Amino acid sequence: VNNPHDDLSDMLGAYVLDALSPEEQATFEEHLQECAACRAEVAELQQVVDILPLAVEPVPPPAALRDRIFAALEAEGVAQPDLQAMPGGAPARSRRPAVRSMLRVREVWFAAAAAVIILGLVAWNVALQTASNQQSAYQRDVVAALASGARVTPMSGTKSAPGASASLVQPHRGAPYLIVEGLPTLPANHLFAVWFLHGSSPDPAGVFNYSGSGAQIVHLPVSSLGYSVSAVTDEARPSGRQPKGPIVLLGKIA
Amino acid sequence: MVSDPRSDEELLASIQMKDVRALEEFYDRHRVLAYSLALRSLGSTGDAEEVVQESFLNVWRASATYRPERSSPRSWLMSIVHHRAIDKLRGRQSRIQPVAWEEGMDVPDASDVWRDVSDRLTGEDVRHALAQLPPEQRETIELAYFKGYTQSQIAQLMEVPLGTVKGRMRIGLHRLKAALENAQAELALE
Repeated sequence: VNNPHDDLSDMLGAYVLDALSPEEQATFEEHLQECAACRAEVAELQQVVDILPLAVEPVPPPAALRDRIFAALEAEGVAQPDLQAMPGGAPARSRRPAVRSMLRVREVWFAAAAAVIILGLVAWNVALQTASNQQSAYQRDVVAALASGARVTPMSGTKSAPGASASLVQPHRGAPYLIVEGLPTLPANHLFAVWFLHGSSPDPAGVFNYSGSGAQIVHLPVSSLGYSVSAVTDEARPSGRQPKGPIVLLGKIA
Repeated sequence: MVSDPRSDEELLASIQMKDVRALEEFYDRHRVLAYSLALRSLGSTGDAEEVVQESFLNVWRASATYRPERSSPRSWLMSIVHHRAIDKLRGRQSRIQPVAWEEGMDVPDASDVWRDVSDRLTGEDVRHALAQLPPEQRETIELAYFKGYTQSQIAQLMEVPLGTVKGRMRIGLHRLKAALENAQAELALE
């Protein structure tokens, strides 16, 4: 005989897929109030359900739909601020400009911070590509990382890879990633290996291939917190616990 | 310096400030995904257009209810489209609102890692992962999510016990998650 928890938790998949009757849904939500394990599993499976729309073959809507939507907004009076949207529900008209200018200041700060990093890379990397080249995916990714509040460490190419540049991005929570660009093409049996160093002892932090052009994101399995230096080496496969190949990228973790 | 496109999060923050340009940008960015989902569920272009229109107006009116720690702006929009499409399919006027069990309870946030993963997935990745599921699990998930059938209706339709349908949904979703994570791991190593 099943216990009541098992009977209820069996409905979990149907709940996140929205396939319960109103009565079943109410019963399951009552159970959720009391069951942390089911809440965790709901959160986990909800993330999967959230990406199901991507499976649909893309079909663009007719252009007239856009006009209809924004005409409907116009008819509602888009200038009417939504008091609910304002923290504390204070009169929106007086608060709006202040919040707007705060946002603008933030945007300017992010842009400035990104410029400093980009300029830093230019200074360290004599052979970095032309300015128009950098203002592409690479820069956009760095700006996005800064905007998210992540800690960004610039890494510069060594003599072995003068055209390479990278940024190590450590978000507040979760795993770090590298944004890399301009790495050299490796022999078929080679990989790039990432290392985090504390003092002079390197710890392996993942391996990756570079596709050969443009900016690439490399997700790393270990946090960079607590390390002082980040390095990328060119390693013959399989890569061991110690770097053997030449260093191609190097950065001091702030 | 060129001006970079605003992230979805920045757009939604501006929409909350009633910046209609931000809603236009948000629409232009997600209109195809929103419309495709509505069309897949409803099968009629007229109904799909209606649902997409209602959904973006809903984003505008209810932007204050968006919770960044629960989902990305895109996922939030898609859940609105999904629910409106399903409502239309089921012929219901309004849905029962989920109880507010999020408030003050230890609901785990969407993990940063998984969010990164899902941001990088393409339609092809998701279709490929779905194709790896046993056909009966895939069909069960699709009947529920895209066509709005309840678990009891699916049990009748597929002529299997209700318990089987429940299992196919739950196990299928777990398998799908594993398949998507594998797809990302392979991408990272390629």
